[in-house]
Amino acid sequence: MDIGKKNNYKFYDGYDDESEIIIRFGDEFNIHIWEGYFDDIFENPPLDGKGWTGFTKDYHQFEGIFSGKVDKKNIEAKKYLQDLYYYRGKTFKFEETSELLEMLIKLFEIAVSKKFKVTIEIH
Amino acid sequence: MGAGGGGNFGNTVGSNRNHKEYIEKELPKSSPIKIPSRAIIKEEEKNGYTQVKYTWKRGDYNYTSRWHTRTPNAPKEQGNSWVVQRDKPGIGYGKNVRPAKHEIMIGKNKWISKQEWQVAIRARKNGDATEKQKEILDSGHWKEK
Repeated sequence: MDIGKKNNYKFYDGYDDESEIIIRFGDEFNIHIWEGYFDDIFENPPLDGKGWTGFTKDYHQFEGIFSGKVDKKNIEAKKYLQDLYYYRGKTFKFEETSELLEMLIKLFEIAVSKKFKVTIEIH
Repeated sequence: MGAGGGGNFGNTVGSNRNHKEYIEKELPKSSPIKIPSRAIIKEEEKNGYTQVKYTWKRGDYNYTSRWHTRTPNAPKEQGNSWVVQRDKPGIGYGKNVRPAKHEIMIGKNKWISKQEWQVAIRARKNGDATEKQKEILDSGHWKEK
């Protein structure tokens, strides 16, 4: 997968006045995401009553950058990658969302293997 | 009242004290929903415009009233506007498991799901918003009072 330039705006382009989520992978790569795509991935979490982890936990329980208290947080790449795998193969509202999910999985896999520091921000 | 068409914060830019007071006391008065004095305030310079977010908790919900100046590509007649959101946290464990709930205010005591809102946002961006979606977006972008 071609991840392009250092800053990827493909999933934020045209959404200037909307909330933006940025995930930074070390000094190598930053992806800018319209919150609508983020919502599309995570809005249907597992409902087995066994609890959530990673993005799903932050997103649904208002923790980390979704707490309203912090705009930026370092995250544990391996844990968040495991959470992303759950959504693979799901049906999304927006056709671009699957492509974004696959890009995130690829980037998190690289981050885990190369031990990049991963930071998430909301603006 | 309001920050003015150019988003100059009531001419307080350049005076930190006046600016802080404006953000804390004056600007919230133009919000379509009452912002309590305990709200957390975050001001940010984005790509060509300014945004101020007020967040607070009331009952089961977290509220966000977000104000921003006209964005660079918006029509000239579009002034500063507010978008109001409320969110109820989900529960991941046990029998009462439920996802988080996110809603946007489009009228007095009238809320729609954020999913419907975002479908409209994306349709507008792609140039194929329906009349109903345009109405939703107009209703949810509140002009300063």
